[in-house]
This record gives sequence, C-alpha cells and structure tokens, in this order.
Amino acid sequence: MPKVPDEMQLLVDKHVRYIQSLDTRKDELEYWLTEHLRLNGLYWGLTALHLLRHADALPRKELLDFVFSCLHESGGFGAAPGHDAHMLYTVSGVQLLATLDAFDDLEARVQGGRQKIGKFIAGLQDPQTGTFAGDEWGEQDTRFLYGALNALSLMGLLHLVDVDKAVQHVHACANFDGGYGTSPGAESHSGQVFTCLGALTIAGRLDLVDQEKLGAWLSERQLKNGGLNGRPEKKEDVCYSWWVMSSMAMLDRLHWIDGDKLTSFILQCQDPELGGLADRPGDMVDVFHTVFGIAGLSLLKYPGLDEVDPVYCMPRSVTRRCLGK
Amino acid sequence: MVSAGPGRAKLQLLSYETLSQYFQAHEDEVVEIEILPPAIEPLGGILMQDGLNLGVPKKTLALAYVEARHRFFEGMHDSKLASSALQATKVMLLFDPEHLTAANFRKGWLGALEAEFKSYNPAVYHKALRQELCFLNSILTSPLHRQSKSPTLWYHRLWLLDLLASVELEKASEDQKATFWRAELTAVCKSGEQHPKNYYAWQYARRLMPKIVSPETNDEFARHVKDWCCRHPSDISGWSFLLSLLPRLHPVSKRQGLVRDILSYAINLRLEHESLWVFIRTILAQETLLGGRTEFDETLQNYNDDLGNAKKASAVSERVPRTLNWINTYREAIAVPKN
Repeated sequence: MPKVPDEMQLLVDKHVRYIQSLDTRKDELEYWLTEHLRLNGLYWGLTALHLLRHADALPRKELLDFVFSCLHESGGFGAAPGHDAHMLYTVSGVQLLATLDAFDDLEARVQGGRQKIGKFIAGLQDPQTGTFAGDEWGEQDTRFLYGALNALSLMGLLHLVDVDKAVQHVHACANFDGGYGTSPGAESHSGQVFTCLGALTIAGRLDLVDQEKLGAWLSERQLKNGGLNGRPEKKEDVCYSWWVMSSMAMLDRLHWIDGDKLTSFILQCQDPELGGLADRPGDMVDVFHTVFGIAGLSLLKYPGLDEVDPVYCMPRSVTRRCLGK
Repeated sequence: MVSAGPGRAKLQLLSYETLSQYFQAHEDEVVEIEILPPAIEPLGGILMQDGLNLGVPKKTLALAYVEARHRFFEGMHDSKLASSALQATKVMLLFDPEHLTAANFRKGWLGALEAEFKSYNPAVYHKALRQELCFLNSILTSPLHRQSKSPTLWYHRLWLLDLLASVELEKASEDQKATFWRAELTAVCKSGEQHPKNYYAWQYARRLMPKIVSPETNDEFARHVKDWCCRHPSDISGWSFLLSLLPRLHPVSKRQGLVRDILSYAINLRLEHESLWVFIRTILAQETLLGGRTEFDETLQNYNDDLGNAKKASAVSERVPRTLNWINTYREAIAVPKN
C-alpha cells in the first residue's frame, strides 16, 4: 500500500457527486464544447464510478437509452444523437454495454445488434496493411486498431478481422527509440504505446516487443515532481498515470516507476471542494482526467478501489465476465 | 446558454452573423484569429477586426457556436438548408475543432462539388479547394491553443491536399511542385510554433513525404527542419520528424553532414534539452543510417571527458554520459563481412 500523508486521501464521495453532476451542466460552455465526446464521457464517468465502488450511482436505464440513441443503422456509434459514427465512439459504446452487462438489452432492442457492430468495425480494417480507419473518410491510426481489437474481443467477435495482419502492422510501428506511434515511423507517444501494447496483449503477441527498451523509455516519463509525461520535455499530466502505468503493467514493470511519488501527484490533482481530477494541481477538473487518475491509482493498488484491467481500462470483474478469463 | 431569453437569442444571432460574415468576406485569404481575454472588450462588443487580424471574445464565440450548431443540425439533412449548414460549420470548427460531424459535412460537400464541377467547370471546384485550404490555414496556424493541434483538422487537410494535388500538380513544373510542398511545410512550422511539440502537425508533415518524389524537395525539407529544430531545441516532435527524414537523404554523406552540424551545435552551446539529446542518441546508435561507425562517437566521448574534468556539475554533465550509455546499450551496428 502506498505511503500517503494523512491529509491527502482520495475524496471518493466528492468524485462520485462530481460525475453525477456532469449531465446537469447544460448551461455551461464546457458542456457544448465537449458534445463531440459525450459517449466517451459517459464511458469515462461510468468506469470511474465502478472503480470507486459506486457502480449504481448513474441510472442504468437512462444510460442505456442514451447509448442506443447514438447507434447508427450501420452498426457504428456517434458521439451523441445526430453525430456521425466513428470507431472511437463505437468502442466507448461497446465498453459501456459491456460494463452495464447489457449485450442482451442490445439484442432485445436491435436484432443481431452485436453482429452489426462487429461488422461495422471489421469493415474499417485495411486489408493491405492490417490497420484500421476511424470511419469512411479513411484516417488511419493505431488508436483505431486498438479500439477495434478492444471492442471485438469484448463481444467475442475477433474472428471477424485479420488479427495477424493487425499484429504485423503494430509491430511495424515500433520505433528505434523503443516507443510506438500512430503509424509506422510516427513519433513515439505514451498514449500510442498504450494502444499498441494493448492490441498486442489482446492478440497474445507481447513477445514481439523489445520490453527492456520500451520499459526504459516509459520510465524516463516520470518527472521530479512524481508526475508522468507523454513524451520528452512535455509537462506532467494525470492522464499519463494511465497511459504509462497501464503499459508498465502489461510489461510487468510497474516497479520501474516510483509509485509513492506518483500517488501523491495524482492526489494533488483533486478538486478538494467539488470533486474531480485535473491534468495538474490547481487546474480545472474534467471527467477524462478523473477516470485516468483513478484508474492510475487502481494500478498503484490504492486502498478502496476496484481492480482495473490495464488492457481495457475497465473494471477487471467486467473484462473477466466478457472474456471468460 | 441554450434556454436563452429574447435578449440572449438576439445576441446569439448577432454574434453568429458577424463572425460568419467575417469568414465570408475573407474566404480567399488567410486570417489570424485570436481568442481575446475577458479583460479586452471590443468596441460594439462583438469582434475586434483589423484587416486580416481578428480578435474574438470567448463569449462571442460561445454564443455564435450555439447558433451555428442549431443551424447545422437543422440543415445537414435538408438540401434547401445545406448552404446554411455548410456556412455554420466554419464557426463550429473554430470553436470545437474536433467536431467530426461538422468536418465530415465539409468533406461531403467538396466531394459533391468534385462530382458536379471537376470536368464541366473545373475553376469553380478548384476555387473551392483553395478556399478550404485558406480556412484551414487560418485555424491551424493562428494562436489558438487547441485548434492548432487538432487531429480532426489536420486529417481534413490531408484529405483535402490529395484533391488539390490532383488538380494542381499533374501538369506543374518542378518549381511549382516545390512551391506547393514548401507551403505545406511552412504551415506545419508555423503551427508548431503556435503549439510547441505539436504531434498532429508534424504527423501531417510525415504523411506528406511519401507523396513527394523530388530529391531536391527532400533535401530542402531536411535543411529547413534542421534549422527550425535548432531554433526550438526542446521540440521533440520537430526532432522526431527530422529523424524520419534522414533515410530520404542520399548519399549518406548528407546525413553525416546534418548530424555533424547538430552535434557541434549541441556541444558549442552546451545545450541540455532532453529532446535534442534523444535525437542525438537515437541517430548515433543507428550505424546503418550513418553508413557505419563515424567520428561522432569520439566527439561525444571527448565532450564527456571535458565535462567530467569541469569542476562544476551541470544538467549537461548528467545528460551526456547517459546518452553515451544509451548508445552503447542499443547500438545497431553494421555487420562487418568476414573475409
């Protein structure tokens, strides 16, 4: 258990209330600025609540109504009703359904729903290179590849895509510096490292990774103040507590980061009045940094939190149920 | 914000129309847009305009966005309102550059224009493509923190560039082609200054490279980016892009020359920036790229010895031995053929 000064504790109740309040803020600028992230925001909020052991703090039926209102005929999800479908929203949609144990609800509302979603995702794989586009407009990125394997594996539909081709593509994204980028030759970035390692873990091919070199690159991400950054000379940011630490967890090298210092950094990013976590101490909180800070604490074995799955950023109990392992 | 009274509704409309008209009036020019801090209030309260410079109070932008969003969702599936929806997407993307649906709507419109006009009235289509590039330049290279690094907008630009290249480059001279690509690099560098370590701007630059066939343009890019990086030594995205350009330089002596310049620059100025040293260690460990073992190892070792002899420890005196250590650990040596 990490050593934390008594005055620094995780403010569980405040974070729960903060997340509950998010949908009541429609008069605030921020609400509209983030409309393109609404479905992702729900996934972040719900996951944070599960890890905080307040799984029922949001109403299940209303959540599901919203999730289904984002589902297109094509099987893809949009960010909110009326928004175009995209891989990033589709993954959040599937993760929400998985966390709410709602694949049966899906079938009840949309016959063959799971297959439909699976086909939407599979249709975005590039048969030549094995990577995935985000939507019909063709942008390709390892974020989308990871998302595809994440969602398909949760639905038991990995066989719809060419996993070996996808693995080859991820392998081609490994850089000489040890990290991974959005595509072959692209700049190394902790977030992309997470997506590439996540994809390889789902495919059972971590053997392709130069684990020593990548672990060293990741360990250089910790700064003197305990926080982690995403790339050289970037500022520390709470969300990298997740992207870096989950990668370290997949490499079985969590101990290459100073956990006490990181725990203390994450706790300092809490808003002690209204709850939620920010990127850095004193900044404005948001639900994105809230979930990734809490998920980071879960990897650090902070007391009172549910176990997070480092590959999916979901409660381990949920992925165990979906994956049967 | 949404449950607006009549006063608010009027202001919303006024904000939208003023901003929208500004875009309309300057659709053939690149403008520089800045979000004004709350302390600065423009006369008349809506916008601060000075030719191609536009200052927008955050409140104006937010009000305009609400109106734009309303017009967009009202018009996106109604052919009679499509031009109103299209106009609205500019304000939407200025406020929320990750509004994927708004960016896609613009792609759909350009696609339809291509089908309708490309062969029958190509000038109309070409003009629309150029105006789209002006709009993107305005948003991506203005001092707008979130906008200049938007993955959605940079991808939109890449998508647009393929259309533009197919119109402009087919019969272009080598000089015209060089000018075309140079303009893209200029936009990336400017955006990289507005938002340092701009991942998506430099990724865009990387994605241009397979489209560029001229060795002269490759060389020019490498020279230009090297100079840019030396002016921004903590910019890991710039250095990382430069690293990706090296294999494009032929013969190998060009790569060596570039690395030699950077190493002397780092040593002469005693720079300690992590990004610069990551570049140095990554390239020096790749002998295959440098055509074999070079004099650089010795240069670096000598520098390390000098630093070790110095009385005062500094950030550099930690950086250099760690760099050497990394190189020795991960060196990818050229296999020497056995006789």
